[in-house]
Amino acid sequence: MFRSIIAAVLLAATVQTADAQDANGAIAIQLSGLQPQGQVMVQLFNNEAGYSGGQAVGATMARVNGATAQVRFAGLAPGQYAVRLFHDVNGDGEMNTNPFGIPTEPYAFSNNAQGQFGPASWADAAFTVQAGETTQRINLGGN
Amino acid sequence: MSASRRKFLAAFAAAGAMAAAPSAFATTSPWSLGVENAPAGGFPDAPMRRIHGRAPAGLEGSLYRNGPGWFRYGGSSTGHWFDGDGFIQRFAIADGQARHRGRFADTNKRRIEMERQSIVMPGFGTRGVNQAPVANSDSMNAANTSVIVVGNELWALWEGGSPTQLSRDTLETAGIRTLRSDLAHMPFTAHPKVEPNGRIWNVGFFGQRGIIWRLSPNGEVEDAQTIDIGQPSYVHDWAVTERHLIIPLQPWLHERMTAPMVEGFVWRGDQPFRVLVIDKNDYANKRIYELPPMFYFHTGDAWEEADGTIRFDLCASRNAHFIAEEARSMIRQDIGQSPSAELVMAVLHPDGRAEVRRSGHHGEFPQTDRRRQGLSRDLVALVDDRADNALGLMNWRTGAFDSFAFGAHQMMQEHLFVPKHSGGGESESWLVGATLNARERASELHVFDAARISDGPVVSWRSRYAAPLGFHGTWSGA
Repeated sequence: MFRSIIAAVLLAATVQTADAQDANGAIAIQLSGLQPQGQVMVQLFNNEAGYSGGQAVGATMARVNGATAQVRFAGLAPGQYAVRLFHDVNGDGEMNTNPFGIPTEPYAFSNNAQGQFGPASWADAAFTVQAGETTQRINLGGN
Repeated sequence: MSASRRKFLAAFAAAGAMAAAPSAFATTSPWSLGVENAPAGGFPDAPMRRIHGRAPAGLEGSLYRNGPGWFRYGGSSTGHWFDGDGFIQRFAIADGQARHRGRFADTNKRRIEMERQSIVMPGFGTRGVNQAPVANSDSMNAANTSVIVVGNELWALWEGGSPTQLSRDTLETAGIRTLRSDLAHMPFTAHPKVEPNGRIWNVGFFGQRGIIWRLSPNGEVEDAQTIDIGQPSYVHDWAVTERHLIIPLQPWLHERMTAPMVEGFVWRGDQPFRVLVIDKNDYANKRIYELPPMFYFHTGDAWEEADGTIRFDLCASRNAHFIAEEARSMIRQDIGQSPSAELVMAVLHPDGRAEVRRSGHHGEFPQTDRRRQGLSRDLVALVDDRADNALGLMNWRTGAFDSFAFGAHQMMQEHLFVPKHSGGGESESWLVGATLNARERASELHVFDAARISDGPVVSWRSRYAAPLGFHGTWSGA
């Protein structure tokens, strides 16, 4: 589900830069429980269909040098959003899975939502962005 | 002070304020004593009291056992016997004395549930709470089914995920043992098969997908390949010969994904019990045999004759009633009475025919002389943990069956072959195992002479407490 994330990161970087001046919402995502290596890859969604279909409206990444990391999305219209992310521990740009399809790298969703044997639902992961900055604290230590 | 009162105080002291007083002290059945919570802090290393006989000269080593040992926080209970937290026990025999210790595997599941003082994680027969923090199969790994010594490591095994590494001495948990990073969280059953040369074979399954593991004696992955076993049978145990891997495919099928998992299985009694036989050197070279429908948990071992006939013994039941129903209700002190499985021999002929030969003897937890894994043998030991509570020893070559029964108050558990000396025959072995004495509310350790089971144990020791029933163990010589 994260396979197109690098392309999305490149696309979203330009979108964010263009929109950042005149939009009024932002999301600060504070990550904890990380192993200090690799990078986190983060996707942002603004509706259930996009979330289920993997159509991100934003994506970003950050190097991981310690147990915590932070990424930020700015220039967002107020509304409902959800985030999904994984820790690309080996830096190969993919969320690695074992032969049965179970992720072998840590992953998480906004609200620390949990899926059972699959991604968390939109209903559990969605949160509201208003004017100003919204903070999401997500712990990957349980993976 | 009564034994139960002492036990309560000991449990409470060990667990501190975290302990929820188990609701099962009003024991109604010998079985229910075996599914009470063990003390949260385990049982510290302590001598056992010798109550009978003398330890055989030269018998030195440790019996490690594993099984579910924690089932409830107040009114919040696991939904199935198989979902209790792994409680590892070590019975150490040295200088004629026996010592016992027990400790919980410090799993992710146990940490989360101890913190919340509630059953949280889904399991085989446990639904789990909404938003349970499950990232992968090892998030809910109970490390509760068996134990194996690999090199200098002790692994607690659980069939849905990775081994959990423990200290051989203190039983302290080191953590999940990922065998290879790209194979993290893959299933690794609790019944690995160790060839006489030390090479370890194992399998793991989810639905009809499987993995075949081949490890060096020190636990390095030599090879791992995925396979399609053709049908989503419940496979708890399997067998190997010198040349083949034997995967019994019973007609209890995982037909739909639901929580708890056990409810997604269906008994298809109109379908055969298939046996998938795979060439160890070429996994594409495989063959299917068909036997009448039956349910099994455990095999003895398999071997192959000169003409290609394959034999393996197993403990067979009429259906899946125990795993689907009784192993769930026993957590609620509702103890079922389904009959013991019958020891049978499956014979797979080179021309494709297959048949089951019945022994007329009943029991479970079959054990063989592990030095003969995959090789021709005569003996299989089993315990009748239901009607007679007996240890039995079947000789397939002669048809003889030797047994000893303690009586209804003793719950027999798996007994393992321990060679008296290197190079001896199968019957030149001790059979070492534990019982749970419901009358004394205590765990016991017994040693039988495989050549004279009906004489009773040559030595017995008793703990000051009752540990939960276990599943499987391994012997490690001194």
